[in-house]
Amino acid sequence: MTSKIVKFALPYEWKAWGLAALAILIVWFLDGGRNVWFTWLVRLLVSYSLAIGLAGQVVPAFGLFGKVVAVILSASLAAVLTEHALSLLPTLPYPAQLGGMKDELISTAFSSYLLISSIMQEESNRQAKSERQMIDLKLNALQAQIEPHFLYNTLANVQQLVRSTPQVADQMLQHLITYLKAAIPDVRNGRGLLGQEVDRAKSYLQIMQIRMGERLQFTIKIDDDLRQIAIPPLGLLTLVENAVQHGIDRLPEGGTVTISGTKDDKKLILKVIDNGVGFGDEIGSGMGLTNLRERLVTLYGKHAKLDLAHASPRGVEATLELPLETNLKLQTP
Amino acid sequence: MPNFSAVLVEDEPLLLQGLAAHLTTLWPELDTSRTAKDGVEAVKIISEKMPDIVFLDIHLPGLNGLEIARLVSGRCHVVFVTAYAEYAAAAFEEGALDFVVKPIVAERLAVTTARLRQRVTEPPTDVTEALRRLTNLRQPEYIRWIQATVGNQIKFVPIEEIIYFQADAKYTKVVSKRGECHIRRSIKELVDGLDPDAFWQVHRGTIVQTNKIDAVTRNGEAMTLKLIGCGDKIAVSLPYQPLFKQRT
Repeated sequence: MTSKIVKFALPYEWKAWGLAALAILIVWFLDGGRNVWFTWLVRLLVSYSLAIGLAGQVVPAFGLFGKVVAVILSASLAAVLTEHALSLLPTLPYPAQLGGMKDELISTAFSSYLLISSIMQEESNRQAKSERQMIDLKLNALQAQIEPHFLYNTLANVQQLVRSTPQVADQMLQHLITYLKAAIPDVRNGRGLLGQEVDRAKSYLQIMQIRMGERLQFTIKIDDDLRQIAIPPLGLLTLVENAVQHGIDRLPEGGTVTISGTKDDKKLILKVIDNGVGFGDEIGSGMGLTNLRERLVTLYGKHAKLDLAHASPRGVEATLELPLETNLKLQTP
Repeated sequence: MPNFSAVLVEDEPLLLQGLAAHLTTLWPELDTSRTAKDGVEAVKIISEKMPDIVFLDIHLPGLNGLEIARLVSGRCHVVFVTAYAEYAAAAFEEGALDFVVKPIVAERLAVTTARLRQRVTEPPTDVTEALRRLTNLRQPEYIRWIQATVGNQIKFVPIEEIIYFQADAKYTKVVSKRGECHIRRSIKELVDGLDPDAFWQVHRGTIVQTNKIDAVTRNGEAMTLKLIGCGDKIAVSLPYQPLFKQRT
């Protein structure tokens, strides 16, 4: 999930190295122009690389505590390693200056600054990335759900209803509002309650019933005590939309959609049955079912099941089985 | 001026009412009393009544609007009534085809009726060619899943999971990581519907998903593919072998 190695964006890296150079210059001047810059350069290099390494290894695993430990470790390790490294080089001009208290403080402060800002940079990158993913997910879901076709045709119906029967136009708009609210899923917590999902499916069916007239009938048999069970958002709606668009709307005489839900100790079983044309075609380019299957795998692994079968005498019976105990997984985003 | 007649084809009753109401306002002399709610009914009424103009919804149960237009082309003037950007608007604008977008805007429909009033006495144009171009303009949609009936169950295989297709007597065998199933589609039909970058035909009777190819072995004239996720060896016949040569 989190990247192993902290990657610096180029502008940031320039900033860090620029500051490092500035710090070396300041120290050099304070020290009266003695040859301390070399010590500092080595110390900074060591501390910088340690900071990067530690940030990659320790920070993702231990959070804030890890960050603090990484700062202290990298600064002190840098100091120790630098001294050892430099003491191995007897030709250096001013070895006695190493280890002074002032140097220690500056070194610690500087490597802390580097590390903390690198972590902040990384965090904000990661946040921006996951936000982008969220937005993508939302847009995809939105696009998958609201076809412009559906929206414009529904509005065309409203336009006519306003003239002919304004009360029905009002109802239609109410259904449309419920449906649209539902079609923009609450991706932040990635869950919905069965009750809400049933209401969404119902508003969709009511819209389609006004549009298709007597060609569409529907029945919903879901007990009230099932309404609080968490289910993936839009799952039920996908199945219902499929039943209407690919089953019933293809038949001139139309048909009926039946939604039912039952529960045992371990699982919730939702069925969407239609008596439309059935799955005549062997191939398809629709995305709805593919998306739903992918989401089920992400949320429940192998514990959820989506089966399609021929209904009798005709049509499709879709069965969605969701485990009850792993429902907990849905509640912790 | 004689009275002209139109047939309105639209599966949604309210939209049918709306269209009729708009037309009555804009062109009161036009007889719009004949309507159809699905493709089959539409063709029947059009051939019986021979109207001057047909207003066609595109998405319909039975035959769709484009198919109906093809059947009645040259016999009556065709106007499509379509939901937003279903087909490329430009193709309509330039050609013999006229269209109105739903929800209907009276001003736009007035342009169409004005044009129709001028043209209605002329013989209707043959729109077959325009329709063909229109169909070609549609974005190609590749097959995204395959479904096969096994007993009462419909097996549903996302295209990504398919390893290869192979002709098998009258059927086509579909091999995926979920196992095997059979469909009636021929290899040829599948080739036309699959994304050519993702699936390669490697034999007259075999299509392989390229990212499932593990290794290519050559033995004289014979070339075989080793696949990921299944032990079967797939033969690449001579005409298809250059596919692999290019990439070595």
